[in-house]
Amino acid sequence: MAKVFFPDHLMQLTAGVRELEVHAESFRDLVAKLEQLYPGISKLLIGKVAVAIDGDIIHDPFLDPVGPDSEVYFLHRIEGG
Amino acid sequence: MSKTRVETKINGEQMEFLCEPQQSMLDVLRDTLGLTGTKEGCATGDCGACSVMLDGRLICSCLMLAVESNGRQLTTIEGISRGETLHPIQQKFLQHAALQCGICTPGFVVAAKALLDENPNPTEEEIRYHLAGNLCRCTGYDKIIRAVQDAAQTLRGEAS
Amino acid sequence: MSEARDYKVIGTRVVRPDGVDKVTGRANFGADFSLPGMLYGKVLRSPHAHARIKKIDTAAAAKIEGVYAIVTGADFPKVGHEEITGGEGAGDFADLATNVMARDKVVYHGHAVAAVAAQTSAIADAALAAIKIDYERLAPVMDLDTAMADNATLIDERLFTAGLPEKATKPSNVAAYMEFKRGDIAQGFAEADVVVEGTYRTPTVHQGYIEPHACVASINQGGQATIWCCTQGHFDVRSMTSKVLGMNVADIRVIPSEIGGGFGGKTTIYLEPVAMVLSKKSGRPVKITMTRDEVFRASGPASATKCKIKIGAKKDGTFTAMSAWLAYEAGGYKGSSMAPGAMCVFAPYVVPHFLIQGYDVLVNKPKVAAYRAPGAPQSMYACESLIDDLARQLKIDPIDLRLKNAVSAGSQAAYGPKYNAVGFKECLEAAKKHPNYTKKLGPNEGRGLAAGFWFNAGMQSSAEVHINENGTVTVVEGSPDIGGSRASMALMAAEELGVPYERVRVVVADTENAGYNNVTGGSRVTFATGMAVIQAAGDIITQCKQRAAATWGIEADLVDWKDGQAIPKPGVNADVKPLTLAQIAANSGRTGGPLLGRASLNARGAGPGFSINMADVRVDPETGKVDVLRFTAIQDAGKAIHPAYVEGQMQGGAAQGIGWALNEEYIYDSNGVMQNAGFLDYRMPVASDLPMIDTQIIEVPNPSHPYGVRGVGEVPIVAPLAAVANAVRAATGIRIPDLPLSPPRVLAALEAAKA
Repeated sequence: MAKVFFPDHLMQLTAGVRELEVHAESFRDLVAKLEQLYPGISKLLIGKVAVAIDGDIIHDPFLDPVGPDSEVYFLHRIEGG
Repeated sequence: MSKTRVETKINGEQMEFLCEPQQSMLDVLRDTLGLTGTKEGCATGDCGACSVMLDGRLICSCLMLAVESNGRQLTTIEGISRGETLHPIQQKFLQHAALQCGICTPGFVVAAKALLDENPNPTEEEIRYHLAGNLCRCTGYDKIIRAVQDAAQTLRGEAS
Repeated sequence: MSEARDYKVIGTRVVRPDGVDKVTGRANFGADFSLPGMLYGKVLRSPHAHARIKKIDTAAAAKIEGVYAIVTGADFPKVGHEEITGGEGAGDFADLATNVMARDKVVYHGHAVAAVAAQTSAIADAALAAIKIDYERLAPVMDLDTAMADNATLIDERLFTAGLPEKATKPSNVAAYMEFKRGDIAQGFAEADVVVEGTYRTPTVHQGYIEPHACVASINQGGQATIWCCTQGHFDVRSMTSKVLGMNVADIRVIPSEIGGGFGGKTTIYLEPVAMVLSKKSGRPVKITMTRDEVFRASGPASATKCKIKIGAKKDGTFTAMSAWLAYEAGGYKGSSMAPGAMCVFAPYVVPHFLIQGYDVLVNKPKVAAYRAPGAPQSMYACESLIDDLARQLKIDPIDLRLKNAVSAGSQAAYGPKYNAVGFKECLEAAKKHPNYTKKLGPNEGRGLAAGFWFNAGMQSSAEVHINENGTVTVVEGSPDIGGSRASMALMAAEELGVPYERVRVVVADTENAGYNNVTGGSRVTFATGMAVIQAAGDIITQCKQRAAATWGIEADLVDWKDGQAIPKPGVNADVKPLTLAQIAANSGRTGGPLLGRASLNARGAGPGFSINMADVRVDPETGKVDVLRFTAIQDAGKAIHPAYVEGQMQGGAAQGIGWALNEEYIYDSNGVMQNAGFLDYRMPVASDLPMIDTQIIEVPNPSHPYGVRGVGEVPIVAPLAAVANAVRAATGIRIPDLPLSPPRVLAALEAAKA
């Protein structure tokens, strides 16, 4: 099961849950599963966050695969200068 | 306001143009004569991007009125290379990667030429102080100084 | 993905392909472009830092001979609130639109309120002078302390602080609050043997690119437009301009000129929509350039900040807890670099317990834009200064203190995920061994050290590789070349294809002939656009193998590509000579058509970059002037594609950081008017201010890139601020926490210490 970690601003929607185990094949799949647990959270995730899957940061994730042992962190989107 | 007719020699070529009395040499070079190699960075004489040589003397063309060029000689970046060949200063800038965005490069090349015309064997400190009127925001000046040192050596006929 | 290999051209110091035009003045930058029939546009700017616009009267200006168009906020459509994607300060399109042209309010001195297009600049100036505007002046809010105070004058009366634990009930100048936590901060400090804290301030500074913003816009009566401009991202110019003007992106072609510096400040738009509306109204092309004065007053500087840091540590130097309170000025609209600043502040260290609180604060200054590792220089300046004091207090060498707590592969980053392979420890070890670390110092001299970090971005890039009929290679990509990236693209294409560097040309194409590309910035071009070029070259190789196979009458999977040639795989029975790229290209019409390779991607796996900088300074006790005697920049580049350009990034960033530490700041009067809007008094380092900048490139390959590349462009500006400040501390014995460490500030501190 992939481990998902929520940053502080999303914990308001997860009732304080910081870490969760979820089975998902892709980021899209993961968000769908999270939406079932925390209705409304998908609006804050699709097109709004970057994600680090196993340490690789992806800007605007969607179809990116999530493995059975993946660690998934949601991040503020940072571009740079 | 009626325009003034000015005759001047730019990069060895006789030129004439009409300009308003308050127009800077920089504006006329770029907008009237199409010589856009000389750049505007500040128009107040602080950045050196507009460096040209007036009768062999290094100046900021933004601080000179175009009418002042009447009967005089100007060298701009377009006049530094000769035909097919780059000037050694230009070659060394390329070899030493002494430019990143390149906007300050024309000014530096002209300023470096003015320096080496006058002082063929400058110390690092002399180079830095002579070029202190040319701002570069990309390189930190390190590779520019090295390029000028190397160009000086080449111009003195020494192996580099 | 990356394995150690012998590179043929990667890592060599080739001359860049666009260099000759740049040393001869032929290269065209933003202001070098002109069109027949072109008009000159000029912008009228608010004389007040904070005011309501009551009335604009353009009648007198319209009567001036040679004036062809006048526009105000009324000529721009209303834009709805929508988050600007990918920005480090979550900006808003509605704010972007009103920043480009004010509607009912001005929120900084210099805010655009009207614009004209005229036959000459002189006539345009006369027209601006003839425009009459009635303002209702409001009290300017000029610093974050004033802005955050109870009963502060509000800059946006409809703004409520986002992100507070309990929903805000009163409007505020604080646009957003953010928190990042790990563990139990109270417990962490309780476990400490030593606790240190400090409050640090950094001023508003500018990226200082030598080329002012410039554009030419030409829109025809059918609504199709072309914009020539200097920009770090022409696809962003297109999308942002289309949003601000309510246009179809397909109707706007943006052609990027060469760009005379950006550093993040040219990742947004200011002039382009204005030039477009003037062009539409006048029916002519319109050119607008900013003066240097306008660049300072009305583009996007970097946030001034106040950062309070607290660190708890054991006697042996192990960090137990860290906390940060970070307030960043956003300018007249929300969206500072507070979030990345908060994510970077503790990024180099293993910290079991931390609490980071960040505030995005409105003030009546120009809306900030990105500046090279946006947010990180300010917050890490504070943390690295405090770590220096901690090292002194614990009597531990500052490198050893950092080594004790340094992250490495598998460490949990303070911003969340585990790091893959990173090179922070390697930079620290290199610093320890570096001869500059032990050079002798004289009276009034001191040495300071600090760490730097940046995530580095991936994001979207597209590339095509065309093989010309003589086997030469044209790479078509869409990343404006700020620092020599064409050379790196050519090196990567040459390496992949197995051809000499000299056989490769690189074109930076516009929005109509390049595939979509995100901005040149974020230290992403060598990494992400490079990856697209590598993949497009790989596509060519696949096609070449197919063409060779067809020519030889064997299966394509029996063909190898080696040193620029197709050869049968070892053991394959085929009596054929190798086919070079040139031969395959010459024959391509007969074997299937032109050879065109392509790739587009959303690059993942950008590798974070770490650095260590060391500065030696001498402080003149009589004047407070700080001279930089020696500067050493050590940085992990993963793999340096072109070492000279990597060094160039390190040296350029060092110079900017040194300027930020020692001299640069926006100085305002009590009316909120900038007093030093020129290069004379906004004092950036010149050649005589700096020594040679020693560099050492560390290479801990990024496992997610075929060559191991990490972005390098932004990390270099982060560490110099604290490296210089720590050197001044060492030289004088006094910690001066507020930047810049300009002579008056240093002298005052020296004299206060004597008293």
